Amino acid sequence: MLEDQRLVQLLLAVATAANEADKPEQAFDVAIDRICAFTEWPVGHVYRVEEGRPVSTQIWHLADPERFRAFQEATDAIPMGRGSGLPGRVYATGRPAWIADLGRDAQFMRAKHARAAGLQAGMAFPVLVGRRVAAVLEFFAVEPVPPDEGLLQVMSNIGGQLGRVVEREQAREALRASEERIRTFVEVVQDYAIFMLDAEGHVATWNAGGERIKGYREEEIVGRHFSTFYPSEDVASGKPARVLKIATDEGHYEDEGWRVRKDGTRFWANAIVTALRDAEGRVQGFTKVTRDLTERRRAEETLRESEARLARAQEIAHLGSWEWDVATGELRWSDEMYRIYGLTPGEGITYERYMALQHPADRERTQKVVEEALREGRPYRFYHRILRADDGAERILLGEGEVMLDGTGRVVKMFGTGHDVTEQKLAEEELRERERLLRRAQEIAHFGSWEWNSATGELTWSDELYRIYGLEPGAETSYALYLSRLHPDDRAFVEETVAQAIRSQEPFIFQERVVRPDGSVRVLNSAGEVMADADGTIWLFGVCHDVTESVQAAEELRESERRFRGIFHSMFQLVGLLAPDGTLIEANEASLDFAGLTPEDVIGRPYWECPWWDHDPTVREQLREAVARAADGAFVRYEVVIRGRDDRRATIDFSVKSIRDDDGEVELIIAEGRDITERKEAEERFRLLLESAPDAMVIVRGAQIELVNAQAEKVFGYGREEMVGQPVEMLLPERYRAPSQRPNGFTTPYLTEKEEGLELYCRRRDGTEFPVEISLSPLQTHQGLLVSAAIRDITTRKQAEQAEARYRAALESRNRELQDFAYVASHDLQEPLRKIRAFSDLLGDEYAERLDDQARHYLKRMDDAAARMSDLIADLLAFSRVTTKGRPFEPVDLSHVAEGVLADLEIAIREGGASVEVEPLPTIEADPMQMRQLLQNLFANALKFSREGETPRVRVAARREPRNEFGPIGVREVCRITVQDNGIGFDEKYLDRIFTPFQRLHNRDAYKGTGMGLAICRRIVERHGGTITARSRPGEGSTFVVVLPVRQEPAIENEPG
Amino acid sequence: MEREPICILLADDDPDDRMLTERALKRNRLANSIKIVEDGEQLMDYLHRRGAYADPEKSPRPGLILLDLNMPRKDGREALEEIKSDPSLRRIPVVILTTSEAEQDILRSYDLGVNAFVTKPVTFDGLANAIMRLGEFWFEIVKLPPKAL
Repeated sequence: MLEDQRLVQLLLAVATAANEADKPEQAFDVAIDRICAFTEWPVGHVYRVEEGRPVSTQIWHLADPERFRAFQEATDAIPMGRGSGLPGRVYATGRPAWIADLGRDAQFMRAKHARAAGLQAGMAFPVLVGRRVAAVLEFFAVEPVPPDEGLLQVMSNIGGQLGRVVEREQAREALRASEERIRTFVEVVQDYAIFMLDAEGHVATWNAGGERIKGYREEEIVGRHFSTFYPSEDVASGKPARVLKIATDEGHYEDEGWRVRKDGTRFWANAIVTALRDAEGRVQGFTKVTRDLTERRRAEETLRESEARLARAQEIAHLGSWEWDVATGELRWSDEMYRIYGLTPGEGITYERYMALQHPADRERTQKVVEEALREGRPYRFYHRILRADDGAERILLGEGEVMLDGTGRVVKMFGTGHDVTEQKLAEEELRERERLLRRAQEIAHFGSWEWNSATGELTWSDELYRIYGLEPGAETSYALYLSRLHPDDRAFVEETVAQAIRSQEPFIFQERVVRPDGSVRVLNSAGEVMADADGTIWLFGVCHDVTESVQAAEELRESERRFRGIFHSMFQLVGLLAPDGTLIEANEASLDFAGLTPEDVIGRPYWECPWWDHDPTVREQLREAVARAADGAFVRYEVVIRGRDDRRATIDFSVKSIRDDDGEVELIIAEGRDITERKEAEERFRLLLESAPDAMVIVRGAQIELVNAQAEKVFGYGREEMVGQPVEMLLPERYRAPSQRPNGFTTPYLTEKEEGLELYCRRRDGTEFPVEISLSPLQTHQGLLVSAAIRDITTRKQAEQAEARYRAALESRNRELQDFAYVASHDLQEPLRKIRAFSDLLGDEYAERLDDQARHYLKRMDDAAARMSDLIADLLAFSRVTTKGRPFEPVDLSHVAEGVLADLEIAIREGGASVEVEPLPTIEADPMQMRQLLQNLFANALKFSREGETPRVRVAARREPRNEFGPIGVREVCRITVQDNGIGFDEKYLDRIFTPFQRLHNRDAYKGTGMGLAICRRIVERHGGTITARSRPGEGSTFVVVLPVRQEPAIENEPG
Repeated sequence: MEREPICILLADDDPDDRMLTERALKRNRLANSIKIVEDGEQLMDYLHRRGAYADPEKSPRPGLILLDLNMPRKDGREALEEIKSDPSLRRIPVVILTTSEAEQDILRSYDLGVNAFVTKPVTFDGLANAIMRLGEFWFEIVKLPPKAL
């Protein structure tokens, strides 16, 4: 009895400590003190399991520190492996161990020290978290003690209690570490803006990448709506709300588009918005570069429950019967009655003997009960103790007696039963105590227990179980009610488990969720046992442990882990997390996929020995050094080629940096690599393209030279390294350097349109200037505006242009001089000629009588020659005047002109008996005088070159055509005029000649004329941008064809002259 | 019709032309008095009776001026402009007698107030004929301003 009370005390103390301890050490400390006090063993000690072996702690209970100091020191000094020594054995097996005699146990490593300290027996038991041993508690006694299974059972219980404390601490620690890891990881990621949004889209967290990319500091942006990052047109069209809607509906949303930085500039972004949901599936907020891992893993932890199996004592009915003849005093006992009293059946019994065997303390009361029954004549029933005859053992009996009365009411006989209820009573006593203990323990540890009779359906709950269910203790309950309290998802499973347990009569253990009346959900670890009564009644007993808080902590941990993993694995970058010594702890999916690896291939290996790097020893060495430097706190970044699956190579932008813990120690190394192969290849292609460009190429970002090609080096005379990074003004003459003088776009960052063919001057390294033609094209990149300038040295072209301009000017001036000369010469030549003729006239008039016929003939010849020269000069003058004295073009009705010409030629027509037929002619833009001159010459020609004996017939026609097939007029609408005669015609081999000045095909005597008519015609036609030609054969007439534009281009009439 | 004794002043730098013109005038018996100057300067001196032309007897005020355009020192255009802008001279009829057919010369001369513009015919007969008609026109048909003025 005393022992039980002490046991209860012990369990209560440990349960309380386990419940209240912040750290496992506190609970351990209380536990070993209490256990030592309970067992009266002087030494208790705790090992914690670290890095796969039990490590001695400074948690000791030493009844006599002086005496046990040597043992303590030896314990601290001797390392224990898995399986070695007492704690090693407990650690390896996960079960308690007992050494009855330390001196005889070969496995016991500290035997020498124990002997010196006088320690003789030892026991140890594990502190279990699930199946894992977290600590080992060992105790030593100063005398040999045989194994005590009961005690070990209690110790196991205590181990379970302490395990909960360790588990709680580990969950807390893991949560903290995971949160810290994800926080620091997210914070230091520079290349991604990783931030979270609340459910309405307000920024909730921010990281260094966000600050770098978007320009906001954390305190500026947290709390603002994320539509701030979108351009106004996207906001106007409701895009941010759409993004959240899609992310909410579909889990995540990925897009590319423009975003706006804090300073208003735009950049092109790729973003993944992922909805964050809680366990019920409600959207709590959003994050970027995460993907929704909706797959919810079921908690896999197992609850190590103490097997609170309450053994139910079996009561076997030890029932004897007796009969007593009061009158004769004869007492008769059944055999069982003798056995109960430790006597031999049938040996004989008397009342005196019976009384003598009563327990001395109860003898008087027994006698009184019997005398009262005799006197009162009524039955009795009472408990009394006896001392058994054979072994003197105290037994508890339930005595019952009946009396038999005669007719006078006097007792004549008594009979009754004696029932040995010792075990029963003890069990009842124990049960009461245990129940009391259990209730207390349950209250403290949130354990509830229950008991169910499957035959009657009677279900009994402990008070604490009612409290766990959120119900009033003592309320009515049943199996159906129990099931109705379960989470709907768990009911079928529980029913099945219970049914299976009843069938198999095996212990069972499961986790269930209970819904309290207030709707909150509790998670219980339940364990039960099945027992069948002698009569076949099935009993179920069980305990439930409310582990909601632990499960929640584990769930939070997993949630945090999941978030971390989501980010970690959904990054496009290759990321590895390394221990400070370079061991790869984790590699994200992108890195594994890249090389076709599984985590088992690489996790736990030095990073540089992983397959990504195994193609090149120098790469490995470089990485090893980079990791070492990062472990010293450096940030290392370089480009490197790595190997992937199928031996493919990729160039990555690689960086290694470390993360420090609260104490400033390097705790984690993050290695990140971004695949820039495409970029490198594009850069290389771009570089080749750039280099192969025939022009000097200068690429400018924000007025600074970013890139130049070899041609630029050649053109400007600077080395590449002298230009790159310098202001672009260095390539311009100083007079352009003032902002107002700058060629548009070249040095400003706001060029939006392509500009081509700008001509300006550039400056070489030696200070000389040269003319260039520049084409600028802007390119919006996420790093700002790039302007690429193609610069062509046009010195040679400029020189050629200038030479051509000079030449043209010289030519024009020469032409002008020639025309002036022709005009002046012809004008001035007329003067003396006129005088020759005047004086020749005068001579003929005034000296007529004195001149003979011969003299007058000479005078006439002279006069004719002068007249002819006068005609030549007049025609030459007319020829030169076509260009020098031309009039502006105006609409000219050619029919009207033709009528005038025919009127002038009327005499010639009449004299020659000719017929001239003129079809309607169009109106065109022309010089009216020259049109008249043109038609006059052509008509006169047609009439003049008539055939002997043939009536001259002239036919004039015209038609408008969309374009001229001869060329110079181009695509303009033209007027084609034909003048056809039936005259003498000519051989077409003279075609060129007839339009040349002073060229004639006939003797002057046959046909008069200076030979200038058609030359003037051609000049007039050419001045109008037209063509003139003719078709003819000798003797078959001629057709002159004039093609003139219907409308004149302004440029043509501005011809010099 | 009774003829006034008219003085014709001929301004021409070319001696051949002077001779031909003089001859044509004489053939038509138009001038009882022909005075000749050789350029614009001399013409203006004559009209203002300066220097050699100071004697009114020897240099009478002309009833008609025949003026060539192209002359050295001061050409006919300048002389015409001076004459027509001088109130004491502008009533004297001025006939341009020139070889020029230039439109510009013709327009300019009329703008300056010339009384007639005659392009010299190429032949002497033509010239004589033209002079004859000029004489008829100016001395028989046209009423000239009173001489006193």
